[in-house]
Amino acid sequence: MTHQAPTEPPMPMVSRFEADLLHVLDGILGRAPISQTLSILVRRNRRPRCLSPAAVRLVEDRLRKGVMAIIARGGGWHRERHLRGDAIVEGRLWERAKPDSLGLTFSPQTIHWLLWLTADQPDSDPTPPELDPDELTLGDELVIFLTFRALERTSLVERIRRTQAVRHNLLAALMFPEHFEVRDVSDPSAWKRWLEAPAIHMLEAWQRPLADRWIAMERSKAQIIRPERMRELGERQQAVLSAFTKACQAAGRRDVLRFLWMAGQRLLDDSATIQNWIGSLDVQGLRMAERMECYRAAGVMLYHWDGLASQRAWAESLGYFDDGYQASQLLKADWERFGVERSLDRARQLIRRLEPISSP
Amino acid sequence: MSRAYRIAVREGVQRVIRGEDCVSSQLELLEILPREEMAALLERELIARGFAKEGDVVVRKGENETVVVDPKTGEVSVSSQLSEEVNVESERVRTGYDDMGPGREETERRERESLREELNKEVERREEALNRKTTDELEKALGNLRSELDQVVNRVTGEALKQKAARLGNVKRVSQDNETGDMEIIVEV
Repeated sequence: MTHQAPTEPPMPMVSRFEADLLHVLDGILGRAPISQTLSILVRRNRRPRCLSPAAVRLVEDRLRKGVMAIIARGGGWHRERHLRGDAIVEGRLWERAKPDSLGLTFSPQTIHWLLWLTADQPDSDPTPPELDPDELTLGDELVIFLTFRALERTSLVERIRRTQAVRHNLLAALMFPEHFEVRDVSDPSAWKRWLEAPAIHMLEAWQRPLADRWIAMERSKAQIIRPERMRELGERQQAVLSAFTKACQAAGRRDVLRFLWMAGQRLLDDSATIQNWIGSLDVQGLRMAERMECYRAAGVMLYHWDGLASQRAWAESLGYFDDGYQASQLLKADWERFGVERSLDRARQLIRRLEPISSP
Repeated sequence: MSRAYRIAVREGVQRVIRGEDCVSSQLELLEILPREEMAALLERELIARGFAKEGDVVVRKGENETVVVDPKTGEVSVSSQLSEEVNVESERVRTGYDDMGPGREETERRERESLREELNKEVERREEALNRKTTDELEKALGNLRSELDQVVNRVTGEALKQKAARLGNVKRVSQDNETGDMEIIVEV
């Protein structure tokens, strides 16, 4: 009797270009350091007429596994409480949400995006020719966001942020507002899509990375010298915060504002001073009106937290039988958990240092 | 044979330059009584300090600054305005040669233009200096205003507390520490 070893499926064969494209995708998904893909991205590679079926299957496989890993590792694994309709649910992301509400769809536009990144030098062709920003699925938007995130600290970010696809990617705007024009992010109604399943599950999962990012942005203000730089940053932060907050309130999903409370807890401890925001700002020679613009831009998050104090009043106004009662209870629990009252007191003290008429 | 010529141009600029600066902020008034009543208390206190009612706001004009308060919203705007008449003149003399360069008329035109540009720059420098002075005046005014508005807020808050207490019951005693601003009201309910 002979025993036959099971035959392994043949290793898929891809062309050199397709191997480069897969490498770029690995960089975007965090499976390989982005530095290893930069040399592919900066050169012009000859684009094939289409990808082979093997290459497409490999792209699909990487997206299927890579995206889920990113969302889970990014924060989906934490046991958290979030809203589902009128109820509060607790657990890890895949315990809180039904499997069919977690699925993401990727269209051929993702392939077009990857082809453009791999084949063309981004600055020679500002918009991928086959990409229609109005037809992007959430999966496509996620890939564009992950591309932006991967390239954000490289010289290529300036090139890709000019593309239509990136300019209207609100997830990227929420994470990196400093790169986004006010006019592209100010409309609260544009956020509606991100506050419904499955997109909102990503926001739920990424509360900690969002908090980390906003904390890093605030801490960077201590090194900003030029007033115009501070004003630009403040305006862009304000546009995103304002539109996103309004959209969350309208959608009844204040729970995904949790990253703001998390950021406040860490930024507004007893050691926080106003120098953490304006310590390097050079306002010599500016009129008072211009100085105040700079200071208020520096303190955008402080003012926003102060403005959110009314959330407490909203939460306390709701009775057991009112719509939104569970949402109000979750908000109160979050405030308790992250010491929001203490953060707000501190924010107000710091605002008094910025304002021209208040006594410190 | 070339002939030399002399051009003397004289230009002057007379202008009134203005420096302006302003800031606005919000008074921190607790809503102890309904908003309209708090607004009325604030208005009364400010009028007692020399503000005049102008429509919905109260205004006080100083030597170089104007303070405007909206009692309903608590918004305070402080602006400083300075103006100065500037009169600058200058003269320039140039020598040219009739067989070299652009010619007498063109030379004169260019010299006038250049002189006007120089004078305009001088006016701009003076305008910048006036703006700096205006900002300094505003900073000085704000320094004095801060403590005054703190007192206003304390008095209005104190008065509002007394009125609120009177609505709750019979006020037995009111004691106030003027130094610390602490107030104690004993109410029999």
